[in-house]
Amino acid sequence: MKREIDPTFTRSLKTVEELDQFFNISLDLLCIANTDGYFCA
Amino acid sequence: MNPAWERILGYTREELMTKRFLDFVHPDDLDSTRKTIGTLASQHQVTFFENRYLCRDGTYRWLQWSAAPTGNLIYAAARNVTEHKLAEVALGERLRFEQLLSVLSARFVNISIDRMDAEIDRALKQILEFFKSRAMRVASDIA
Repeated sequence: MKREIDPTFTRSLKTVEELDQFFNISLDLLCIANTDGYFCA
Repeated sequence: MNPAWERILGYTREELMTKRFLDFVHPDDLDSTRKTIGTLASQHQVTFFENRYLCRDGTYRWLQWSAAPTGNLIYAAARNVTEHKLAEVALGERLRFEQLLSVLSARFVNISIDRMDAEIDRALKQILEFFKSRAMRVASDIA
């Protein structure tokens, strides 16, 4: 059985890849932390 | 956390993740940092905040933050402004010294010859005092 890939999914995957590139090359320090004082992954 | 963290502070990701971020903050910046976390925890954005972070080599970097909360998560971006800070301190010191010199030279205008030695002595003492207190100021600004 052939499974179709949802085009919306492909599009968001591409967005994630693009954001990832910017995230990696940024000169700024970027992070997500919680209010308990720890960095999140 | 993006690779800039490892590049600027010198720690591995794992080292940064296992400790509380307050563990890296300069003792003199702890109060203001806690206050800022409080602001974020009450769901207010913070567009400008500065504090010093401890690097792996034991020195500190000045970081300038912009952060926004979403629930109990904080999205934050910081830039390393250490060089700017050092330049600012150096410029301030330079200005202070220029001011001192102009005060000292004004004293020598129309000075009588019998006051000369005493005024030179006084001026040299003030210059010495300036450099002593500058060493202390700069040390506390950077450390």
